[in-house]
Amino acid sequence: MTAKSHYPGKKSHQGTSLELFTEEDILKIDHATIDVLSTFGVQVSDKEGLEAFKKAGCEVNMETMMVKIPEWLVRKSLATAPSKFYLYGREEKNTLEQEHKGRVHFTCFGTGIQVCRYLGNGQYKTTDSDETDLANCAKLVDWADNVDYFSLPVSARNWAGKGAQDVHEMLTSLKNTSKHFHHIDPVAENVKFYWDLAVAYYGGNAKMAKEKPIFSMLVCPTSPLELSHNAAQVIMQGAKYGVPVNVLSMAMAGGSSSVFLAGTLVTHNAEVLAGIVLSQIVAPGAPVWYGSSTTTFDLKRGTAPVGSPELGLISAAVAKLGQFYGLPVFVAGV
Amino acid sequence: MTQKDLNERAKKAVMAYDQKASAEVAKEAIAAKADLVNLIQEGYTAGIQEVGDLYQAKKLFLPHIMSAANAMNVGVNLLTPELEKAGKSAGEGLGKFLICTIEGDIHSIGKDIVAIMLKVAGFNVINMGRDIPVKDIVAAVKSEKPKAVGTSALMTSTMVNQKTFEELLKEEGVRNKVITNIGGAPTTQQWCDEIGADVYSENATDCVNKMVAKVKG
Repeated sequence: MTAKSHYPGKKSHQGTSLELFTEEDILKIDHATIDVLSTFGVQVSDKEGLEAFKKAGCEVNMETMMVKIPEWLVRKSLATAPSKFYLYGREEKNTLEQEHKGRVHFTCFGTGIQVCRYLGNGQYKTTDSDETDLANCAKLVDWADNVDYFSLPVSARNWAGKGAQDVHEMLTSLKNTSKHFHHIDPVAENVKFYWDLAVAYYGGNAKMAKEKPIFSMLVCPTSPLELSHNAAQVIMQGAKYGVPVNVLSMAMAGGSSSVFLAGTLVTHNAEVLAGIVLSQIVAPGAPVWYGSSTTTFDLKRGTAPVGSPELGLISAAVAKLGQFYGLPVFVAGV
Repeated sequence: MTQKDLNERAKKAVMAYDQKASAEVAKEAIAAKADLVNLIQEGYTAGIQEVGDLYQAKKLFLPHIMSAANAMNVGVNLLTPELEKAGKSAGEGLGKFLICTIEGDIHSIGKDIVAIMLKVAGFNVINMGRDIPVKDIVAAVKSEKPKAVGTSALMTSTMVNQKTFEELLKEEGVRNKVITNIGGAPTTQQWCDEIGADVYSENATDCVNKMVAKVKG
């Protein structure tokens, strides 16, 4: 063998993969989802949302608030949803892409409501979190190379009942990290204030605030098969402002969805796609993630363990669904 | 068929999750002009409480509780109109407990589990549903005169209404007439203390234990 010998056309695998489905398997889930959306529908508990779906060609019952979304509208919405968008940080080096089948990024998650304070001498005290804790977490994440952007980790509970907690959380986060901020607890009535803050950051330049979103938002459909007033409004306003929205379902298999994981994937899929359709109706091309924190429901304790083995399986499955639809995917992880 | 036999069959029907058997006992008891209140208390309720004890011991799970409750309801729903005709009541048990998800919030699974567990423990539970305006909960407290009222919140943005609820109860002069209970993921004992609620429940079991202790002294 000489040093000049090479392999003829060698294929190689980068990283690790977990392939749960064949193409036919994914199609089965997709077809079942379309069946649910078009024949049973989703409940949209928001008047403006109902009217948007109706105008777009859906069968809407204003009394029961049920919306049947036809297949063509789902496919059209998936065609307009972007396969890539950028999350901007105050510092350019912290700006990153979210891309269909792109690189994997990490964020901290939440929203926690308490912190454990170290008092010294091996003593700890757990108390409700406040604005200072949030600021400190933001600074810590700013330093941590392994965290790519900042999701709201703890709540500024000192503001509860005294002011708009969620707006303070937005400002405090922006002030204390130079990374992109993902607001995971947005309140529909205050989205306009988050936007005002973003525009102020860009010196009043709303066009730039839209082109380079310094923050994004996350909403959960309510399982099973409902878009609440808050979810519908955040999706619509996010779409209008050009703020990326993470439509993230947290179904609980055995609690708010089928105890069978495949059945859970179907209703989860329907919930997320309904949210994505709404965003695209309002603003075709609006950036969205396909999101999941879906897990099991612990039937012994009545809780939703986000560390269950099934969450790992579901997250892997949902990633495949999101990839099938050509979207950037956000899933619950470690 | 003695009263004791009927009671035993009702209890067994609940513990076997047998809706058909539950209905049969109820019908037979009505035809035999048996003591229907006793049947509910020593039959159906005894059955559901034993299921509840097995759940606490982690030998049975939530689906068993739901199935047992369904079996019980089939029987009790047949007996209730007969009791009303005779001007009787099945009794308040441990007391009336009003429960709902607070204004602005639509999450209900946890609250519904608490409602079932409180019913199993012997409370007369009125489940008002979800996204209930604070003023409507206060109105219900005035009209139903419950022993306790529980509000659930799952979002940091809606738990604020639990504070508003406490304030409105005071304004309306009924705060000291009811035990207030808060629960839901973002709530804590600290929040409970801050807003002046009486009880903080971390989960369904915690709620039942604390409320039974409070009521029985």
